[in-house]
Amino acid sequence: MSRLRFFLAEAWEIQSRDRAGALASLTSLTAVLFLLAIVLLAGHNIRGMARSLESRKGLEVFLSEDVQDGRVAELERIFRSFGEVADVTFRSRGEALRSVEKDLGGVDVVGALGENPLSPSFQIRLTPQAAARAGVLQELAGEIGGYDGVEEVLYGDAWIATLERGLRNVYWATGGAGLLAALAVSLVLWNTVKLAFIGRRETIRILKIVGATPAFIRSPYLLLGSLQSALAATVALLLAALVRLALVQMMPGLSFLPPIWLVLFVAGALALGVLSAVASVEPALRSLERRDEPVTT
Amino acid sequence: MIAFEHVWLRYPAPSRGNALEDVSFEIAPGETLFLLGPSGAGKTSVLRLITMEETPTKGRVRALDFDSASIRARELPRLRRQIGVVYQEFRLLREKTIFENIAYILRMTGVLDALTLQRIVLRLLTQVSLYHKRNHFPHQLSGGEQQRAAIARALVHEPRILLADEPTGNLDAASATEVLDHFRRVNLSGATVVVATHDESLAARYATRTVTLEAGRVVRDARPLRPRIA
Repeated sequence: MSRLRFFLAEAWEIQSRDRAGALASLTSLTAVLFLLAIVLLAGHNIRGMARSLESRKGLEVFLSEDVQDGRVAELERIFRSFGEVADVTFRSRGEALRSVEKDLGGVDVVGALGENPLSPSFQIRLTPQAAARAGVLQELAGEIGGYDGVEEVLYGDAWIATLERGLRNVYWATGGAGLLAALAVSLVLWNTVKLAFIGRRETIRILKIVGATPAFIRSPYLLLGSLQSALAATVALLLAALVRLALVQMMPGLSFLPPIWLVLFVAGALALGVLSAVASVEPALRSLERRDEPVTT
Repeated sequence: MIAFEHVWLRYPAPSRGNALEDVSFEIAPGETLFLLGPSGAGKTSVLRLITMEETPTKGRVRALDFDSASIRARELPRLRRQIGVVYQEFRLLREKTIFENIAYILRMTGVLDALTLQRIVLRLLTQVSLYHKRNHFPHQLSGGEQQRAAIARALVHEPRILLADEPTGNLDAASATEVLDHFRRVNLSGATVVVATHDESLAARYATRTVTLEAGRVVRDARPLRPRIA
């Protein structure tokens, strides 16, 4: 029997001694982690939607009416050379006029105003990486606005600011939920391991007297904590997957958490289990080290 | 092997005074020593000082290669693995069978091979006449059987010192004789045996040396020429 198998058997035995307690602990852990999984799922999908909006982030660069064709070509070349820029499209005064007239339902703008009032412009689309970065549009607009021949740069800063604020809120909410869940999981595990330890106090005293090392005594409890949390995390993810399956009919775009998130979710729960078990067992072990009142015969 | 040098041990509650006062004696390798004295004399304290569950308030205790004045917490398991302890109340692991109680100690010391474990544990259980009860739990055994199981557990890692705290306190006369016969065999195999008891008749039958304690002090250190029953 390998040492790990021995400790696993010990952890199982400890858990089996209080099946009702173990079930209650596992249910609480699963409930908390399920809520966290749902928050993560919502956060992930909101983030996905925001990404798709971000991909529409771009600049509209209006040029002077008298800009020469040579300068237009030069400016296009310059803008294309920016690392943040994915695509540059030129729209001449005539194309802009036709677009406006189409939007207005075929109104003859030149006939009404006596001239074409529109400027030639560039439509600049950002790369997805640049679009995801906060403040990149403002920086780029400032730089582009400084070139000769450029009259005005528009980038829809109001909706972008709202989007970025919204995203920040989503991140904070997800982080807050994660923190609360971690706290709740730690408390449940701390308590479960503590009760299991107290229930075997006499056994542990005997183990110490016969020469068990603290690592030997501690190991089954660390396994108990980590296995409970990892099992609860796995069940919570399965339940979240079922919820997503139920909702995907109504929301076809709803995607599940990416594999790396799943791995991190279970690994995080496992690490939390170990840490909570250590926090629970160490003081109890130390209290056994303290000198007890001598029993004299 | 074991030495007490002017050892004082104070109770945590100051009103209770001292558990031991200026206790000094040595125990040579291979000796069978009986600690005698009434209840409260300090016999258990002496045993707990040897396993270093207690630290002297003053003085020092040396056991094997360890010194109470300098031993570190991480060295305690190494000391205790060379000592076997038998208690009046047996202190077997209730949730494990007799076989598992003994095998557990071996696993703790790193013996994990199932065949080796079986060989050692079953040999010991045969020696203490409990082979047929190897799959019983402690509560399914009589007091004498539980004490024999506790002895097997104390001996499984072949300790250099065997300590027994009132080992016959809960046993009838026949079982008590059986237990002490086991101690004699352990002693003959080379281990040092220290038995704490208030029963002077046992000491008279088995001890090669007796140390008598009263109110935490050594009042007599005697070496009978030979035990009446060898």
